[in-house]
Amino acid sequence: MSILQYPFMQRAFLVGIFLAVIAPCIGMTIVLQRKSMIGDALSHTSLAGVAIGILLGINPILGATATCIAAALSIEFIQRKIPRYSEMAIAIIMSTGIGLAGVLSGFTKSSGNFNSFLFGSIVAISNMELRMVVIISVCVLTAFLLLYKELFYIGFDERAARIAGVPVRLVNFIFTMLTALTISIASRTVGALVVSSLLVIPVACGMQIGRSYKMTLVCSVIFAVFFTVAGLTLSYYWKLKPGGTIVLTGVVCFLIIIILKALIKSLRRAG
Amino acid sequence: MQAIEIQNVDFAYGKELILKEASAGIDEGDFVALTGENGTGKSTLLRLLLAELKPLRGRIRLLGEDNDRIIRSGKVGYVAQNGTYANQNFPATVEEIVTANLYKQIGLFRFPSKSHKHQVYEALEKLKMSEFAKTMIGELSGGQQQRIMLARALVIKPELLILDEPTTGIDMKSVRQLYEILGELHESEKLTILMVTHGHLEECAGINRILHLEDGKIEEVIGNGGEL
Repeated sequence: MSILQYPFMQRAFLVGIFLAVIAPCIGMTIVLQRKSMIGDALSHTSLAGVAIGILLGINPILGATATCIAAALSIEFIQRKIPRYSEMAIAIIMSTGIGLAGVLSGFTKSSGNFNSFLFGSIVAISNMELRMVVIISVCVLTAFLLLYKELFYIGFDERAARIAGVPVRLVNFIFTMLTALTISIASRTVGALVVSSLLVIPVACGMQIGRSYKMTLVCSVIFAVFFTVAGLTLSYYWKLKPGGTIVLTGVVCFLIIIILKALIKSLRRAG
Repeated sequence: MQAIEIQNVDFAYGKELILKEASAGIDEGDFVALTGENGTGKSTLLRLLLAELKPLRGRIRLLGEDNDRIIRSGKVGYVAQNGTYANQNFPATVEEIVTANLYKQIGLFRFPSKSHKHQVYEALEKLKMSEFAKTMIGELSGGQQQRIMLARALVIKPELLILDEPTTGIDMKSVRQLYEILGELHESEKLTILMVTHGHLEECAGINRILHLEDGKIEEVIGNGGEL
């Protein structure tokens, strides 16, 4: 395939597939704990880290990772302080992140570099960034698999999980770190503005088909890999923005699945 | 030995005192119903028993140990009110949900073995639900879901079972089935049961004591040996 003869496309596919494997693992827990908005809050906050990175002359992904972790911890802290209105924490941190990113981006000399994080630039990934994505992805996947049953139980019933002996606070803390890491590296590829879609849409598709938790997770990963490969291929041949194309491929697939499912249901009823 | 000891417990939300020197003792092997009007503090008392809240004063002991120590030991089973309705669309099978409660036995960073699976099917069999092991939880009726929640609590072979209004939102036929199962469990396994409930006590033949929560105090309505 001619598309794979270019090193930048090889890197794009590699990075995309790694992210497509870990994003639904994080997304599944986020969706089932009804925390989908946390993805948006962290990804928007990561933009502030990108601006800090550019201003300080360090890798913007490192800046994004640091601010994502700080934002995730702040959300947890605020939620513990006001448990009854815990969703307010997400709004507060998201607003802070956007405000900070807006102010700091005004001081960056290269607006192109900053803007590349808004919608991602998966085809502009350097070898160093590729290594970083691979290492972080392997760490996130390993941690997720090790905490698989804990995350499952907390997602289903946090109170019962606590009574069963699951160290809920520790597991939630580790998961928050994993989410922050995943979102910060995904911001570079699909873009901060659409990264939460990569977390949620494959899971939404997987939930339509899966007949168990494990199967839903596996289906979600397969969907995410498919969206990434299809989105990158389409964006290459049709000269589209890769990040947006990946997400839109996912949205179209989700709509197709929903329509097909409704059709099958009505056909069964009629039959 | 007493399975539950509540000794002079005070608890308040802000300045509002919910429990005032509340005391009660539940012997091993008792099947006790805890009743009370809405807002009298039944749920608060359960949260105190489960060590989710700390009393302002007084002490709570379960199975002879302080409740905050024993609650995660795997000796106490708990069935929540409306356990599954909030998770109606949760993508998990009955088997996965019941297995989750074996966490303590499986251990951190480990996966369930064949013997764990056997335990799960044994618990489901007790509730006559083993044929639904591979069914998604959301596809079951309210009564069936509540039986799965009971199987989840029983899979760890608890010495003490605490239920929080387990019959809320399920039809009368399911209520009778649930009470029948609880009565059988109490009889055959000598399980100590504390059940917070609103009503239909006449349907539950196994209950041998009724405690009533009112004005922050726990009163004995029908004691040991009493006729319901």
